[in-house]
Amino acid sequence: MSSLTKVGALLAMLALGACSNSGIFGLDDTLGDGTGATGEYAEGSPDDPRSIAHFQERVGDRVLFAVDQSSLTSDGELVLLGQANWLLENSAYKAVIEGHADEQGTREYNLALGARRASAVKEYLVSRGVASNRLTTVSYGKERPLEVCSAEACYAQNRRAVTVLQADLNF
Amino acid sequence: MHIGHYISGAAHVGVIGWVMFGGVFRSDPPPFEVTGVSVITSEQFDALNAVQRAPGPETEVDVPVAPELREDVPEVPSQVDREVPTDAPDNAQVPEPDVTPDLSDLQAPQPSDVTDDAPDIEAPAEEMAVLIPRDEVRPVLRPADRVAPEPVAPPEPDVRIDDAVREATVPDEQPGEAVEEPQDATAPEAATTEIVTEAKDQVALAPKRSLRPVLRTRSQPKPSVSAGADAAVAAALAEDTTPSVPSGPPLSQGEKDALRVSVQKCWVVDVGSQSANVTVTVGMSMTREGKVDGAIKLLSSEGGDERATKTAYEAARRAILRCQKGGYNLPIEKYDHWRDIEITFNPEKMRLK
Amino acid sequence: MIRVLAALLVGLFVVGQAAQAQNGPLRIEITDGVVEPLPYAVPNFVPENSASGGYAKELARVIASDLSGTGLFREISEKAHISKITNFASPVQFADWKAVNAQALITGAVKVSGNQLEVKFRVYDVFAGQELGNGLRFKGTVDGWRRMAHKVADAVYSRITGEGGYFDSRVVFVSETGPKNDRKKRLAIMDYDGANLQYLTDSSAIVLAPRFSPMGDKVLYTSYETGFPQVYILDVGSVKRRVLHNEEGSMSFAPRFAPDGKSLLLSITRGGNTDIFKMDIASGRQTRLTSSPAIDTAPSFSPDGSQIVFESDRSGSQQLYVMPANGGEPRRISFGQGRYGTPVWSPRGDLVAFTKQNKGRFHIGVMRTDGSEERLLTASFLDEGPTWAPNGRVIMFTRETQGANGSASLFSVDVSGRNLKKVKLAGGGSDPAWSPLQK
Repeated sequence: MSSLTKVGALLAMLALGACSNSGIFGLDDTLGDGTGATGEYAEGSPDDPRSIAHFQERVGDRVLFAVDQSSLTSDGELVLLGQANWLLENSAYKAVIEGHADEQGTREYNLALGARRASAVKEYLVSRGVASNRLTTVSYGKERPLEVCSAEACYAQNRRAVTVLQADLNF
Repeated sequence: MHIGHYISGAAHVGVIGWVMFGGVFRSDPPPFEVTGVSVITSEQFDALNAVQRAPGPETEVDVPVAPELREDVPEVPSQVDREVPTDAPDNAQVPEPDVTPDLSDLQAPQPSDVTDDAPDIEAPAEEMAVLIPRDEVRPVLRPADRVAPEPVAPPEPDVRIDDAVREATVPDEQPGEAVEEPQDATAPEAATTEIVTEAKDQVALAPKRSLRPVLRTRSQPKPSVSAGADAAVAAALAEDTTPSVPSGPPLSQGEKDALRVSVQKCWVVDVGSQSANVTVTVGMSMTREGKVDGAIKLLSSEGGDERATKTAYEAARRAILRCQKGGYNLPIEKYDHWRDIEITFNPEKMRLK
Repeated sequence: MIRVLAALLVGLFVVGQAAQAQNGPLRIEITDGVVEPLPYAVPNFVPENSASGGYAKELARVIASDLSGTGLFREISEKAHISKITNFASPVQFADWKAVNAQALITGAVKVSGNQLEVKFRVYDVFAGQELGNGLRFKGTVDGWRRMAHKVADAVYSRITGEGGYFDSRVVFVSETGPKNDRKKRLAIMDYDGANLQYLTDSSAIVLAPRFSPMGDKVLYTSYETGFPQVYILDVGSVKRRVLHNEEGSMSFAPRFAPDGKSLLLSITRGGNTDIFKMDIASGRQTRLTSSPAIDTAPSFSPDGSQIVFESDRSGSQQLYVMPANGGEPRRISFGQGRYGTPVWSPRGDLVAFTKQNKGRFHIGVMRTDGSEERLLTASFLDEGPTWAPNGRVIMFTRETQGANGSASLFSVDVSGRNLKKVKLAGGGSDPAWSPLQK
């Protein structure tokens, strides 16, 4: 890898990292060159129905869970239905489903709990027609909280499963 | 126009995706290991390690030291130490008169009465007293270091801890004693009557233990904790009622209690150890001055292996020897009744604290 | 006739009583002692040549730090000493040490020849006026002087308490830096007292919950190096590591060595379900030990290797279970309120330490291996992951503070619940695992 590619790769990773954390930055914010705003919507912006930003913001890339639970809520199922439809329309993407837990649990148990949550999401998407080989699961347990306060308001946001898109190069 | 952007966007996404996740989904792991992450980090890692291990020899400690550590008895003759009498008069001539006599002299008249009174002043309701010292004694994390049969409130900050309670002396109060140094005031060390763990401390928030369901048959009734103690008390009372003998009346319960109290003050129980499972009975002969005459022998033991028993015996021996000071306060006219003493040290009650 | 007999009997009885009262010893029973640190003195060791001068004091300081750090001993400061130890071979002036209320006295001497350090010491029971055990001598390299001090302290501890020591041991743990939502974690190793810190991994991947091999030369842990949590084994000496379980679509974690060091237990998650497996380290062959749809994890072998304690939520909440080492029907042992996790069998075999979560608080506790006599030792916002000192006397664990700026530290507590304290450490730390006593 040339050093230029490395820098590019680093920038790209930062951009994606920002996306998965906040979901408010479009890809063009960082990549900039050659992706100016034209037509009805900026390409890659949330208004672009084929963009990752659209998936994250309009479809919703995450579902939340009750304390120590991995069953989907009805709100969650609604979001996942949208995810399934989007994935069916945009078959150039694969997804990694990340399961997370709040800090109110022991480390290893929370890893297993996060895996259960990710798996519940995967099963739902598969039941809606998404090919299971496009979906991978991983658990971070309580290692990567989104919100850092020690209160239910934060815990609720941390008990989550996030569907992280990635382009499928083998497609 | 749009098509160009689409292509560009897709290509970017593709590159990013490949960078982030490409390696992950390869079925064969080797390609991943040559990604930038690995290369960079191993360099970093070496560099960091180099820093961490800067004091070169430190890393070698583990390897060379281990085999070279040898245990063996030194050539230094060990008998020399044992033959020495407890007090070596030859060497002690100069330093001793100044300091040591002061302590023993001061302690002799006062100790038992004053010490026993102290807690009563602070804590009239003995059953409840646990709470009083705890809050004051442990401002941060540590529960009172000391757990004793009777609670003792913490002393004033500049008071030295001592078994004997003593007023501070000021040099000019005793003009006759030219050499006397000013004495610090002392007080018994603060104590609670039970171990205050953090969990117990926050008992209101978290029950220290919870109930087990009754369906399990294993929970057979345990013998009452204090059964042994009760039996001992009963036995002691029974002894008291034995007919008097020509040599005079036996020790009263109060006199026995006084001895018991003065020994138990020095009996340090290591509640977390195996030796806390061992009950030992030791026997000794006494001089007329109330001091141990000769060796303290282990008569019997119960509840532990050889090592734990030895440790329990040594703790009992230390208790008796340390608290005898100038001699236990026993009625000389009843010497025949206490010429030989057997003391049983039973830590059963302590374990549960 | 009967009367005569009765009178005779009564007479005999009275005579017997009288004789006993006159000749029998006075008997008393003591059931109330004190729980307090035992006062001891450890004067500076005697330097036997000029090169050893610096070590004479430092050795005594490390020994004192070890002993006093247990909470079972209290050092009598040098200022109070009446006698000085100037010659290791000279007789001890017990009266001088009695006068300052030292119950134990440790004397020692040190000699340096080139790279070699020689330390000898004796322990005395001051009030009994005799030595506890015989003098001992240790030899080693100068660099290892702290270990020599720990070895002396272990021997002293052992002679006074009758139990094995734990000072010459190490702790592997996860060093933590950075904010809560972007925490950097590195595997690190240190002496039990926080000295000689070394890092074993960099911070590029999350690492979790290391465990020592029975010999203390290898470490098992979980790393996200591949992007997915997988179990690794690392050689402490060479810092070389290799993945033990790398199966696509699954993750593995919670590895623990078997007492023989040849196999390990680990949790493997497939399709969202976590079970416990045994794996042969050399061949990688796996044996499934649990097969419930529940979360089965955090296993721990009994010291004899015959049983495994683990946590499972098969009852609906996290609880502790014991099963035979080759699998088989688990038996639940925790029945209290709240959730129980991370059980660790004590090296003595008599207790299981665990994390308990109840009413929004976390506790480190111990219970007997049948679940009886539960005792909670700590309480805080978040305590977890107990590990036993090699002698089964002390428990180290992770304590995390509350809030956005919360951070993790290592704490230790005596099995009696006394002597709770923070382990000296420069940064944050979590997931400690205590090594066996070093050879």
